[in-house]
Amino acid sequence: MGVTIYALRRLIASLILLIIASFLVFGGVRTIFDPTARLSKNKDVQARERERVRLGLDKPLIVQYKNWMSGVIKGDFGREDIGSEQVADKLKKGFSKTFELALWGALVAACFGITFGIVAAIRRNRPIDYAVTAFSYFGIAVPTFAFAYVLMNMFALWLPNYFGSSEPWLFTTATTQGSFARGYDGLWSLASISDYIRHMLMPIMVLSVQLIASWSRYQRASMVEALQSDYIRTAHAKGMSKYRVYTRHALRNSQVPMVTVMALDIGLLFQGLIITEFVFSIPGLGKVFTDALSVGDATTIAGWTLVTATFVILANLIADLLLPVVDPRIRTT
Amino acid sequence: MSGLEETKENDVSKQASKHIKETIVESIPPPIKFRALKRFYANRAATISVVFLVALIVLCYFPNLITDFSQNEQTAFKRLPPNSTNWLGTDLLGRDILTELLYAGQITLRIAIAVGIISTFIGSLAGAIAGYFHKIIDSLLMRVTDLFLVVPQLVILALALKKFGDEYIAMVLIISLISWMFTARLVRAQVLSLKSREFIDAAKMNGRSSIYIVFRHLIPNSWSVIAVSSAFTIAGAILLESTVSFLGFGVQAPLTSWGRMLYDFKGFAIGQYFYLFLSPALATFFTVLAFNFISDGLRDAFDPRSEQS
Repeated sequence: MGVTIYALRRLIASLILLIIASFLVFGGVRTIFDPTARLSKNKDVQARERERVRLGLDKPLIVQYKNWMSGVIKGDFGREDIGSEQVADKLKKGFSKTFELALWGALVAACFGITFGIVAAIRRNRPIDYAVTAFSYFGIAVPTFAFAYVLMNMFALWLPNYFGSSEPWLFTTATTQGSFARGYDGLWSLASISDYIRHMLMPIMVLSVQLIASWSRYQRASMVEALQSDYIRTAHAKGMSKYRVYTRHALRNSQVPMVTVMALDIGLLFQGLIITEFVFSIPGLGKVFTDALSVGDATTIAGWTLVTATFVILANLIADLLLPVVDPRIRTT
Repeated sequence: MSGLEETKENDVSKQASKHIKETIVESIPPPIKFRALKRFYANRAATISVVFLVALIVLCYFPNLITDFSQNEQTAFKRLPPNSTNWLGTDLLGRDILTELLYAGQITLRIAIAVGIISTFIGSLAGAIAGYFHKIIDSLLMRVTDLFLVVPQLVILALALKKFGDEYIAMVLIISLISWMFTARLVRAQVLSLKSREFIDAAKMNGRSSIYIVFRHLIPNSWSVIAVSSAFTIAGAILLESTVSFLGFGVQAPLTSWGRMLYDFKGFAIGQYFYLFLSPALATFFTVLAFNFISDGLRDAFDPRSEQS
């Protein structure tokens, strides 16, 4: 089966999955929430009824969904149920912030996670291996938000107080617009870069801790497996330098399973940052979702599900298509 | 005379039995289950975790063993930092945090363990059936798993909890509903490898029905996988419960859980009253850690090969 046909088949299956998922979420929100409830005490008795007609709540659910979907196909995600903003604009704005965060988080996590995994595998059952394992247990078991608050206390309160600095080292919100407006000289000045880091470092730490924890474990396991294989022994036996054995043979082969794991996790980041964005009040996709959920805005939530689910599916697809590129042995089967 | 011979014979038989005991019986390895148990207890982290959890459960259900306060008992001392009477301090109503923590732990543990039982049951059943029949049911299971991968857990939980209210029973059912897939996938993989083994063929040739094979052969033989994944599921359930409760969708007052306490103390999370927030957070962290250790300990005990890697 050619790669193109395979990709096409996967795409069609994904489209069906997207339609089912968005319908379930749309229908779920519509049946559970009533966005017109806030108008029940309005002096204008007709107001609620008008709002119902405007939102199409008087029609059956399937018709509502069909109307929404036919808009989506034309690229129109509709207007939010409460308020006047276009859902597409909200999602775009949210996406740019979440993407920025996810990109940094994934980069940091990839650097540290892979390094930790390699070091732990090479120094197996030595103190540094135990340290990496302990760290990954920590990252897997700690509740995200609790860790975030510990960091906030540490870097915005305790450490600055202890060292007698007048302002927090790192800021607890990730909105940088305010400080840009304060008139730093240019985007690339030292002041504005340090300001950017001070705002973004804590959210990045929080979201990358879990990734580092799981990626280092995967990397360690696959590296250990590679190191135990015959071709490594051969490479050692023929007198290759240790460094070359590790980088050329073990590392390359251990990267194969990592491609899948990392691609999937990066795709999941687009929905997985809800808590991090909530805690650090970042106006990203997660914020769009929590805001919409608190008022029962089905149009926004369905659009959000469609967009984020697309990323998850795309990540899945990319992982599967990348695999034969990284590991030519898979191509032949 | 005859008595002497008897004792001689006795001696001989004793020696023989001693010999048998030493050389033959002790060289026979103990049954698989006990071997696994021994390996489990050799794992220090897992053993400590078991002790910790047993202690935690006892203390949660009998808090008076270590505290002098009753639940919701308000004292005049509000927002005390940790001291000798109130080991973890008091909250803004003057309640002893340690006592509240232990009572809240009852709900958290009850939710987590109930989720563990229910989702393990559903997951192992679905996984075994999907693995054994491998056609329509299998692809159905995979599609459902895909669907749950695409729609984030938090969305389902938030929607369902809004609908089915604050009953923690509803919470148990919903968390189970979204966490059984992990077990199902593992059991499915295990069943797929068991399916082609001889004893299944033998059972088939004996005319055993498929249901008999699934319940008497496949599920019991997947026991190790099921045990590992149930401990892991419980850990995940505790984290999920605390996350939804923290966002305000989960356990509602007057019930308290650790997640609910975190929600209540959210306003104190930064600043001098941080200890209010820290106690339930640490309780959650250590309990999740313990379940993770147990899960890994079980995996290593059942499958010694994984320990070496």
